Amino acid sequence: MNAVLDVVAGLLLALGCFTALTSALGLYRLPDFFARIHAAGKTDTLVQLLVVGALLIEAARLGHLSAALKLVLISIFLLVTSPTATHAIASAAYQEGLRPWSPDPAPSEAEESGA
Amino acid sequence: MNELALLAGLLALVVATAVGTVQARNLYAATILLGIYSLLMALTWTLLHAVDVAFTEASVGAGVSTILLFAALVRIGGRETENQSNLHLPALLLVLLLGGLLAYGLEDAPAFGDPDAPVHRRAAAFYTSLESYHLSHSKNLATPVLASYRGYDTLFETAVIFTAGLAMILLLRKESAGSPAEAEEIAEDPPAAEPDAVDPGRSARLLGRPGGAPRDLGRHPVLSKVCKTVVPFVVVFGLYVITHGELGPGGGFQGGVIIAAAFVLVALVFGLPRARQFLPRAWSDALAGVGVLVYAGVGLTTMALGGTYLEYARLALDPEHPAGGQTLGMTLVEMGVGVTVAAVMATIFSEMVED
Amino acid sequence: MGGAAAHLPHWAYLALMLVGLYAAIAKPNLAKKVLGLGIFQTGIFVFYISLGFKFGATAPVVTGDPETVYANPLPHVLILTAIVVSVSTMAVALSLIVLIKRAYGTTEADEIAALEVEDEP
Repeated sequence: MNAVLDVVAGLLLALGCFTALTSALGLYRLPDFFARIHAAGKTDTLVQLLVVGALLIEAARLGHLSAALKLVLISIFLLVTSPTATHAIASAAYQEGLRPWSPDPAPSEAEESGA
Repeated sequence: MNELALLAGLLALVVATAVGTVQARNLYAATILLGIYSLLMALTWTLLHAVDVAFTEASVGAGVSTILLFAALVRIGGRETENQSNLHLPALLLVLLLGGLLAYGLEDAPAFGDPDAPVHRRAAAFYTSLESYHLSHSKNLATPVLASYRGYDTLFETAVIFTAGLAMILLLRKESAGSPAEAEEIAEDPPAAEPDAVDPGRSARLLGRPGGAPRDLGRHPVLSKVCKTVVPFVVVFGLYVITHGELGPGGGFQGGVIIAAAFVLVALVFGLPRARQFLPRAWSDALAGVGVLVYAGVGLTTMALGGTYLEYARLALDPEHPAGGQTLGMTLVEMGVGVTVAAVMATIFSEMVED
Repeated sequence: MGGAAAHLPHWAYLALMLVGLYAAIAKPNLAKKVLGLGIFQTGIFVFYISLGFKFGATAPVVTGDPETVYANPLPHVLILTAIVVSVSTMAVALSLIVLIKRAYGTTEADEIAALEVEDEP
């Protein structure tokens, strides 16, 4: 039983790390601010669920119940605040006048970027 | 050995981020890099078993100082001029000379992690012994060092923080806005403060766009809802951290900063005037001093009870068990620290964004 | 164990101090100088905290096991107060820069120096 739980926790951790790496790659490679924040914001929430899930399994297995409770609270807190922060940053950028990149820009925007 | 490899990787990232911070021409980018730098530092501290320091670094370095730098950059401009030469030769030579001397000196330093290094002997050996635990009943061995054995040190650190808050007020606060009567007027007169809460200029400046169109974050449904939901929890967590510094990582410094973070959050979403309704200027000014006075007052109380300054054992209700006095004294002192830190951080933030 | 591994964090502290000091001297922008001093400061923090570290020890929070060896909490205490003090002093430095910007219209040290020279007859 313990070995199975260990393997599951390990898999969750590995998956979390892989997702985080994808997000970092997206941050580095994607063309504009909105695409990047999309990559970072979405994966961020998923990664914390995966990693905290893995730690939760380990904490429960070792009998650290107060640690497990704290992990659940941390996860809920991040689940609420992290997308909100992403949303705040993106909407602030939009209000500031930043527009999403697109491969074939509308004529007026093409003129602007050409000028 | 695994630990060492992890540490080496983290430290390499830390140094790389530091170089990036210094190189970035855009100061906003430099500030974000500095925030990342602080988070990496917090991880490094955890790896080095300095959990209290990691806690402080995460709340101060990555939280308060980032927001403070942004607030300052809005007012002083976020871009370095381009007219500088890329390499400053005298500075480079000086830095390399200093580096060479320090590296030469490192040879004689005790090896990293050596349990028999001189720093771990004498008083430090007592700090990490169970004797210290039995004397103070504090599970967190750092807390008695902070609040009891080095209590004078911490008292004056708190006084330094208070002085920094005072300096901010003296430097940036305008005389016309400074009268306490006026601050109370805002606090007691919600209808007058309400239109202020959506003052377009102020919230726009707060977010980096002087004179811009109104950025009405307070009416934004998601932000206002989440902010209203989260703030009470943040304050409660801050109080928990202040009072539970003896059981685990935490204490007055960290908890005070967390409470100030709640103030900053309200100010960012609903505007500073709204945040000032929760913590009026007159109150935060007074509380910054009250915290230091509580700390100093505990010392005077132990003297009045016949002990020396900050001799907490005198506070024990039952003289047979001096550890009770230690717990009481350290808790009171941590509360004093927390009050001062929270009030000063709130003052620093609001003086920086207000003009 | 010898060589580089024995002084691993010390090399990092050295690098951070030098990077910070270089920025504080070489960069004319006052805000950048403050950031440089901040990095310089954290370099010293690395030095202190690495002093408190012991192999085979754990974080200084009492566990049930009386045999546990704990890391030295003294440097931790010195540095955690220093971090909070450092943000307060940084705030004072930044507000001085705000006042300088108000008086000179710039935050570049070389431009301020040029303005000072112009003022003299």
